[in-house]
Amino acid sequence: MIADQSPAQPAPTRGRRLLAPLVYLSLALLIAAGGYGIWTYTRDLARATDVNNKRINLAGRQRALSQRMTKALLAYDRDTRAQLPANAALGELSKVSGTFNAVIRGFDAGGTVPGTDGKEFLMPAVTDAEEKRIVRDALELWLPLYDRLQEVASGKASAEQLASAVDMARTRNVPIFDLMNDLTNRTEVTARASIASASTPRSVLIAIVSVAVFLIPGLYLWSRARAEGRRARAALGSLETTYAQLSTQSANLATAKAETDRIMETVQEGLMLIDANGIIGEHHSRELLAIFRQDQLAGLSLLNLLQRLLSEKMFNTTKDYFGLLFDANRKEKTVLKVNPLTDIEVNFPNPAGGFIHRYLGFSFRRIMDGDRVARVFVAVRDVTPQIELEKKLREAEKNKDRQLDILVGIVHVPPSELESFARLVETELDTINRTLRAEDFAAASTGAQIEALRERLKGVFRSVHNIKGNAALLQLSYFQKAADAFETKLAELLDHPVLNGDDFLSVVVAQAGLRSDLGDLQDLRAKLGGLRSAPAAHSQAALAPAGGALASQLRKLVEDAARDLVKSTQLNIDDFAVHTVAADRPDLVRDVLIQLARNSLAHSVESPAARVATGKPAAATLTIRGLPPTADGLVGLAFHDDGKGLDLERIRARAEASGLIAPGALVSPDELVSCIFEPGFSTAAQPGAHAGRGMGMDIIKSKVVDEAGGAIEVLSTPGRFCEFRVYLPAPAVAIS
Amino acid sequence: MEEDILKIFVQSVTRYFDTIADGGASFGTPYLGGEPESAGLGFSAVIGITGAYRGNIYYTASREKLHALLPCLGETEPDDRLCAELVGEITNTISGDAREQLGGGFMISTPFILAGGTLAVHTAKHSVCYVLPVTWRQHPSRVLVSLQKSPDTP
Repeated sequence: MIADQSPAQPAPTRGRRLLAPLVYLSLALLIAAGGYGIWTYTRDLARATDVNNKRINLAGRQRALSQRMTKALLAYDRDTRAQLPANAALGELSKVSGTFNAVIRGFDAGGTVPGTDGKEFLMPAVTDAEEKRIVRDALELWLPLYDRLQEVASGKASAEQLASAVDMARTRNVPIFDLMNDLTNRTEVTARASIASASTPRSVLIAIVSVAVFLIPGLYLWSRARAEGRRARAALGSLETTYAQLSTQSANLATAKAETDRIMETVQEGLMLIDANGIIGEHHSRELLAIFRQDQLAGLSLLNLLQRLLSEKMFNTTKDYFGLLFDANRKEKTVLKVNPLTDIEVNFPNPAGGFIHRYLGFSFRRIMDGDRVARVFVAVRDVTPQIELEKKLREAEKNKDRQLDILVGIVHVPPSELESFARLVETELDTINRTLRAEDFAAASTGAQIEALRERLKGVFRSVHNIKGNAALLQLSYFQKAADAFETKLAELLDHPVLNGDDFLSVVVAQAGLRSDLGDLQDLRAKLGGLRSAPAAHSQAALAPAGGALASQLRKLVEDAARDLVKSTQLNIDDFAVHTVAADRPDLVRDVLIQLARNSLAHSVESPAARVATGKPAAATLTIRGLPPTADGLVGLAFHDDGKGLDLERIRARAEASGLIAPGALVSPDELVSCIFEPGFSTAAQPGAHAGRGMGMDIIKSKVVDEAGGAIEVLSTPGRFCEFRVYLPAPAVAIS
Repeated sequence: MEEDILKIFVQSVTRYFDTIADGGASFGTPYLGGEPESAGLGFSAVIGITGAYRGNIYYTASREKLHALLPCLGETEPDDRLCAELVGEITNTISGDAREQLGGGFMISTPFILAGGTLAVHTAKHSVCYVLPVTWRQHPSRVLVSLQKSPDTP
C-alpha cells in the first residue's frame, strides 16, 4: 500500500489570518461611512439646490416685480389724472413694492421672504461679493424709490409726491431692472458654484465607496488568487516531491517485481491467488504450470481444474471447503485445520492412455480486505515422492510379518538349497501356468473336456504338493502353509462334478500369491546373500553331491513330521546309494524321497503306543538303501519302514468310494496297490499338513515313471512293513 | 479379494454377451500373463484404473470374433474402425460394471484403443496380470486384469 506522501499545505500565519478580516472590516466601514457621507452630501446638495433655485427664482421675480411696480405706479398716475378709480393699481403697487422690498432686503440681510410658490422662504443673506455689490447698488436705488412708492401706496400722496415718485420710478426702473437681472445671473453663477462645491466631496465619496465596493471582491479575489497561487506552488512542490518519491518507489517496485518474478520462476512450489470464484490470478509461479500440466492457468478456475482431476466425492468436498475459505465468519485457523487437500491424489489424463496419478499437497491462507476475504493464497506441492515413500513404508510394514516368517524360515537354510528351492518353486509355478493356459478348454461342455480340465487341475495339484513337500524338507513353514492352503482350494475343485474355466479363478489367484511369496523369497535371498560370509563354501556346497545334504534334510523332515504326528522314528540312509542314484537328477530323487517319507509317516508308521502294543519298538525304523542295478540297467533306492504297511481293505473301500474300482469287483492286490498312485487318492480320514491330499504317490509316479521313465515296486506285509522300490535309469554321469 | 474382483469381470463379460449375442460366452482357465507378444489378438483396448485400485483393464479380441459380433449390434458391414470401437466399448462396459460393484473409488479412464496383435501389458511392480480367456462361438478373446490395491484402501 502506498501512503499519501503529498506535503501539507503551508498554514497561514496568525497575523495573516487576522489581517484579512480587518481589511474587509475596514473596507466595510469605509463603504458605510462613505455611503453616509454621500447621503449627507446629497441631502445638503439638494437643500442648497433648492435654496439656490428659490433665490434664482426670487431674483428673477424681482426683475418682473420692478416692471409691475412701475407699471402699477404709472397706471395709478394715469387713472388718477383721468379721475378714474385707481384702487386696483394702488393695491398692485402696494403689494408688489412690499414684496420687492422684502426680497431685496432678504438678499441683503437674510430673513423670511414670500416665496414664488406663495410660501414663506428663509432667505439667506448674500455672501458673494458681487451679489453683495449688486444688492447694495440696488438698495441704494430702491430705498428712496420705496419711500416714494409707500407714500403713493398710502393713497394720501399729493400730486407732487405722485409725480416725484413717477419721475423717480421712471429714472430708476431700468437700473433696478438691470441690477435685478444681474442679481439673477449672478445668483445662477453662485448657485452653480455652490452646487458644484457641494457635489465634489460627494463625488469623491462616491468614487471612494465605489472603489471600496469593488475593492472588497477584488481584494478577496486577489487574496484568493494569491492563496491559490501559493497553494499551486506548494502543490507543485509537493507533486515534484511525490513524483520523486514515486520514481524511487517505482524503481524499488521494479526491483522488487524483478525479484518476485525470479522467485516465481524458480520456486519449486505452485503459488497462486484465487478469488471468491476460484479464478486463478494473473501472477503465479512457473512450477504451478508443471504441477497442473497446463500451458496457461491465469484466469482459469481452480475448481474446474480440480473437477477433472479429483473423484466426484472429493471434488464436492473441495467445493464446500472453498466456500469455507471465503466465509469470513469462519475462523481461518479452524478452516485451515480441516483442509481436505493436504495430500490428495489427482489423476491427469495420460496421452498414451490411462492416467498419470500424482499426489498434491495444498495449503491456503486468507487475504483479508477489511472484514471480507478478498483472495486466498494457495500453495501447491507435488508430494508424490513423499507419499509414495510413505506408502512403501506402510506396505513394507504390512508385509513385515509375512517377510519375517519367510526370513525366519530361510535363515537356517544353506543358500544353495534355498536357491534350489526357489528354482523348484519357479519351475512348478511355470508348470502350473502352462497348465492353466489351456484356452481350448474354455467351452468345456462335454464330459471329456471336463475330464481334461480335471487332469489339468491334478497337474496343478502335483506341482503345489511338490512345493509343499520341498518346503517341508527345508522347514520353510511359510511356504508349506501357503502350499497347503493352495491344496485345499485344489481339493475342493477336484470334488466339483463339473468344472468350468472360471472355477479356476481361485487357483490362479493362489498361484499369484505363491509367485508373490517367491518374489519375496528371492529378495530376501539376495539380501541374505550379501550378509552371509564364505560364499565360496556355499557355492561349493551347491556343487557338492546331493546325498549328504539330502540325507540330513530328510532326517530333519522326518523328525519334524514325526513330532507333528506324535510318532517316534529313526531314519537310516545309505548316503552313497542316494548320492549315486541322485547324481544327475537330485531334484527328482529329493522330491520322491520327500513324498515317500511323508507318506510313510502319515500312513504306515504307527503311534508309539500301538507299536509297543504289537511288540515293536516304540520308535519306527525308516531305511533308505540302495538297490542293485536291474538287468535292464535301472538303479534304485528302497524306502522301507517297519510300520503297519498298506491297509488293503481301506484302500479297496476308498477306491470303491472314489469310483476307481467297482464295488465288490475282483481286484488283485497289485491292482489295489496301484490305486494309491491315483491323484487325490488317500486313505486318510482328513487331510493334514503332511499327507492326506492323495497327491504324494501321484507325484512319485509322475516323476519316476512319467518323467524319468523308471519304475516303482511296492512291497508290504500288513502289520510288518512297507517298502517302496524306486528304479530310475542309470545316471548318465559316472560318479567317482 | 482378488478372486472376487476377477469374478466381477467374468460376470460382466458373461452378461455382455448374454445381452448382445444371446449368451454363448464361456471362460477358459485363467492364468497369469507375462508374454506380451502372445496376449494380443488383433484388436485391443485398455482402460486405466486409479483410486482405490491402480492398474489397467484390457480387452483383446480377434478380428474374426469382432466381425461375428458386430452384426449382433446391427453393424452389417464390419470394418476395422468398428472393430476398434467395439473392443473399446466392451472394455468400457466391463470396467464400468466393475466400478458399479467396487464403488466410486474404482476410477476408470476412457478406453484407449491399441492397434496390432502385440499387447504390451503394463503391470505394476509386485502385481500380476490375470488373463481371463473368453470363447464365444469358437472365437477367442481375452480380458486382462492387472490391478493393485492402493495401500490406503482398507
